[in-house]
Amino acid sequence: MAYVQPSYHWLIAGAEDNVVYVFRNLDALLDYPPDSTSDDVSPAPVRLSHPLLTPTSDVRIYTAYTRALLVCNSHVLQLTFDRRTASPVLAVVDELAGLGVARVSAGGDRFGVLTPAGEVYLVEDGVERLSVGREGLGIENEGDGDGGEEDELDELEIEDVALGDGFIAVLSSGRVYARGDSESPAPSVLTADTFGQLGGLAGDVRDWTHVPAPGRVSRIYAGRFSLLVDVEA
Amino acid sequence: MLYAQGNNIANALAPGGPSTINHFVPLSGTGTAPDARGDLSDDAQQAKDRVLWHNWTATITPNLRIGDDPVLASIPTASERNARVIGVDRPLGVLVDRVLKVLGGREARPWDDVGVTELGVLAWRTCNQVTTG
Repeated sequence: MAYVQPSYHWLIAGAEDNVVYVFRNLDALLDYPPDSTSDDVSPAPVRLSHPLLTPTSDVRIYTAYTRALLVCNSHVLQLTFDRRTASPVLAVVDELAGLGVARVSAGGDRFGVLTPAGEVYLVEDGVERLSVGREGLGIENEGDGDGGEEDELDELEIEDVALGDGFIAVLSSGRVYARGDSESPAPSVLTADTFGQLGGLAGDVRDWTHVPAPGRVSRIYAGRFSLLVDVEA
Repeated sequence: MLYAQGNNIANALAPGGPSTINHFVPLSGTGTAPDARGDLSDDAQQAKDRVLWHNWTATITPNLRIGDDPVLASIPTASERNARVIGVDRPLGVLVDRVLKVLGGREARPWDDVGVTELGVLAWRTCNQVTTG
C-alpha cells in the first residue's frame, strides 16, 4: 500500500532525461532515489517533460505560494497545480516569449518578471504588462521635444521589481515607486501600507507613488508586508 | 547598504524595534550599518548586501541573520555568494554548490536549483552532473 502524505505536498525535481520530477514533499526529494534496502516508501514522483527542458538546460526556479516559474535559457515556463485534480501542469508563458528575463520577484501567488528592456510583466493565471507612467509621477521624459522616439517614452524604464502581498514596488533611476493592488491575495482588512512597507503612505495607494529612500537605490526586495532597499554608498 | 521598512512583528527588520516601521532604517535596526564596509571591493560588498531570504519571520544575507524565527538557528549557514535559501513562508534549507542542506541535518545532491511552494518543492539538475545518492 502506497504511503500517502497527510498534507498535500508535491516535490518537483529536474531530471536527467528532459523531465521534471514532481514529488509530494521535501522528504521524498531527500529520499530520492529510493534505497532498495529500506522499508520506507516515499511517494513516487510525477514526471513532466517539455521540449524546452534539455539535459543541459540552465534552469532557475522561482516559487510563489501555489505555483512556480522555471526560467530556462530565457524561456519562461509556469508550473501550476490543476484545481480539480491537483496534478502539476507545465506550460510555456507565451506572452513572455522572446523578451528575455532580467529578474523575477514573487509576491503572494504571482510573479513580477523584469525584462532586459525594462518592462515588467505580472504573471499569475494570466499575464499583464505593468505600466508606470511618467506623467502621474510628475517626471518629464528625456526627449528633446522634437517629436522623436524619446519624446514618446511616457513610461519609466524599470530596473528592478519587488512584489509583496498587496503592493508592487519598482526601481527606476535609483528611485523607488510603489502602489497597492486590490487584486492581491492579501486579506481585505489590510491596506497596501498597513505595516508601513510603503513608508507610511496614507490611504489606499492605488496610484504609483514615490517611496523616499536614504539614497540612490540599486536593488529592491519585498516580503509579504515589508520593503528592503540596497542603497549605494 | 541595506535598509528596510514595514512589518517588524517578528523582528525580521530591526531587532527590538517597533512592530511597524514606516521609514527606512538600516537592516540591523541599530542605527549603524549592519555590514562594515572596510576594504571590501564593490563586488564583495554587493555580494554581502545580497538578500538571500526575506519574509516576515526572518531575513538572511550572506553575513546577517535577523528575526525571531527559531529555524534561523538551525538552518545551515549561507555565507557563499551563490547560496540559495529555500522555503515558503519560512526558510527550510540552503542550497550551495549543488548540495541541498535542510533542517535536521539531512542533505541531498546534486541539485542545481530548488524551490518550495505550499503545494510542493521544485528542483533541477543537469544531466551530465547526475549521480546516484
